[in-house]
Amino acid sequence: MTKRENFLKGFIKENPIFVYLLGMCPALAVTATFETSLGMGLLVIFVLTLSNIVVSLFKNFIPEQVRTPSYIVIIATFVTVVRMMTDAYAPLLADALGVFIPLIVVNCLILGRAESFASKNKVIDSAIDGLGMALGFTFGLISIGIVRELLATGGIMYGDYLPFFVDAPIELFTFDWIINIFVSDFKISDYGLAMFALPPGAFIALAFILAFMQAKKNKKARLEEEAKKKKIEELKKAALERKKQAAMKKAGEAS
Amino acid sequence: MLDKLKIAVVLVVIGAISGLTIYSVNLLTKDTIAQNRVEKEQSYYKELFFLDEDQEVSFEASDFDEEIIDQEIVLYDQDKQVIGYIYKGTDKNNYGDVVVLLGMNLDGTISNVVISSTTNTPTFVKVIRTVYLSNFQSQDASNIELDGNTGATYTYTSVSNIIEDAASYFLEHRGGQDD
Repeated sequence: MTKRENFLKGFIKENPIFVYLLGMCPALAVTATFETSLGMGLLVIFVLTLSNIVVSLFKNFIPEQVRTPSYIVIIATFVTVVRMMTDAYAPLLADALGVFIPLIVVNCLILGRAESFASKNKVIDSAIDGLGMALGFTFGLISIGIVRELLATGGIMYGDYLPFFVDAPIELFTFDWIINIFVSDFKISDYGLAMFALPPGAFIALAFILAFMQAKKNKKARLEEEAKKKKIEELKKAALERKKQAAMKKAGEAS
Repeated sequence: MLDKLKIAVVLVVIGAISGLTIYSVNLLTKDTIAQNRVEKEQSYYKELFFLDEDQEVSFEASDFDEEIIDQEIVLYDQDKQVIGYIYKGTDKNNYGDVVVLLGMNLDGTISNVVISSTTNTPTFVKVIRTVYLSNFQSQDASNIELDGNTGATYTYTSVSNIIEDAASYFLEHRGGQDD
């Protein structure tokens, strides 16, 4: 596997949320808005990349018998660090994510990558794997967050929890300006499906996204199958043609 | 024997590195975290007396070692007139700590109550915050009525313990004062 493939595999092909269904707890609990999803994603990027690097660095020194507890201590250290940093520099995000920051310790994705990849590969490859998988996880969280926030409020906000790049909350996107072309004084937020901001909405949004991805996957598999069949037909036809020509040639020589 | 020693040494080294890392980050962030907590608590002061965000206020806080009540804060307006008293109390229950701020008007009625932080189950805390805290508003410090059945008994009991202690403290030390 090339470094590029190693980095990109986490986005679609081996996406932790949509393919392996790992890290479902934060995927369902903190994706009510785009911003909380992005915040959780950033924390996971930090923890997963660094824990993969450290596990890979120490893999030869850690005895087999205490491998898993050692990895958990390493992961827990980074989670504690990330929690203190969030409390200090993004307190509103820390409040919004609450108990789900310490729960990163038990995220199957992080321990899974440490066990299955970082403990068997070089530091650079492990860092690339960690970063790629964490970005894929963030992509999954953000996809669910965007769907839920759009359906619940009709727009996407930024600046409530993450105090970076903006002084006050801003609206990144809203359907209002499109609808206001046809109808004046319309506020889409008055007609939002509030259920999508609540836990049942998380399950439904995830189900929609998984169904969409599965449909795409099925379509791709069907097209590949058809292309394969077509190719076999063509090869059969070509073989038959060759046989026919050989037979005619043989008949010509005989006569 | 040597194998076991090796395992022990590796675990000690990993634990020591982890501890040092956490200690270093704690040193870097502890002041900012403490400052954030104070600012968050102070943001509740105006909410306790339904003041506008842009209204200028100042305050004096005095700490004391009561069983439940930790702090009394006197809130002043821009003319240095007392707006009211704030009592901060902490109570422990089976689910952890509950920290409550109570705003007391000068006439001895409760202005507002907020849960400033807690480690209790979020669902139960939400019930108390959204449904039951507002019932304390305008109640007289000398006659506080409690709700009997809240569905979040532990959290509500802690909140009511703090409120009753704060009311007793107010009546004992500030009762009858109008300034």
